[in-house]
Amino acid sequence: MPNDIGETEARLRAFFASEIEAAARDAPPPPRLPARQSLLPDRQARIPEMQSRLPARSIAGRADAAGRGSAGDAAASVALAACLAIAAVSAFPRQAEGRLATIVVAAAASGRLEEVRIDMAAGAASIWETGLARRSRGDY
Amino acid sequence: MELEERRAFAENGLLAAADRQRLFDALWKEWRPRLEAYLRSFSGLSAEDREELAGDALLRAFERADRYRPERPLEPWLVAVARRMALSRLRSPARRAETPAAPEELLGEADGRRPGPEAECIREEERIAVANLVRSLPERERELAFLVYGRSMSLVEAARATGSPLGTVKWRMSRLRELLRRATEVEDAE
Repeated sequence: MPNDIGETEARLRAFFASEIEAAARDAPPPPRLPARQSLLPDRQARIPEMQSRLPARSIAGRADAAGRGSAGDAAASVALAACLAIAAVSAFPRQAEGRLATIVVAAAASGRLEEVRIDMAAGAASIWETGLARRSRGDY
Repeated sequence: MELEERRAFAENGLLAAADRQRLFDALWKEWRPRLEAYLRSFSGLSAEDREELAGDALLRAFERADRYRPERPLEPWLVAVARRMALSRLRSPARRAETPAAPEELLGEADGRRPGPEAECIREEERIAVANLVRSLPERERELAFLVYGRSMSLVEAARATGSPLGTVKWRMSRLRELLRRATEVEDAE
């Protein structure tokens, strides 16, 4: 074993280089890229998975098959959308997040809350894995 | 990686299919082994997990490259993607039911690897001693050792890669150096 910390650090560098080299030797060939947008499960395919994570009943009640709720549901949707929009704009005042709030308002007002919630869950998963989109951030 | 190459990576969605494949092949060759070696920092991952995650992380990063800012170094961003995927896998309900790999298992696995030309300068017993030292480190310090010594990252880049505040990374680095110093002293005493 090396007898000073500088030498230990040099040994660590060599050790990690050998680990990388071993991984490169045993690496499989690169896969063929599928056509665009098909590397990851598409949104439609993910909807059942996302739905399984959601509560059985939506906040504003279940929309009917045509995607329209009752008058009570619509009122609740608009109220919820207004709250979401205020929260989103307060927390994320930049342009991209403002657009997100607008989309939430439009979709929620039409009674399609399940879809909004699925989009938000997918968006949160995406942000967790790869960070925010460049155009959604300021320079910090 | 030069700025132009990083820009091409960030905008790979605009490339023709053949050019896109060529760019991905080059990235695969250069970065996949590094990510796989990095994932060895997580003792709960098996060799199969690491192989699978390294490829998946590169695919995911390539697919979502529009989220990457090319004015910044690529490696911390790639490491961050691989790290998050590794943590997601380790936190999955199925994974929690399993027993994490014991350090002894990892030791046997590493010792079975042949040293390559770059490592030929290290005598085998020294290599085993260094491997033991790396495995004796706490997981977060082992990860930092790989990033700082194995990949020559600055502490700022390491902080970006691990999503930790810079102050925390500085503290971990001083702890890491203290652990290395103690290990050196013990060996000297023997």
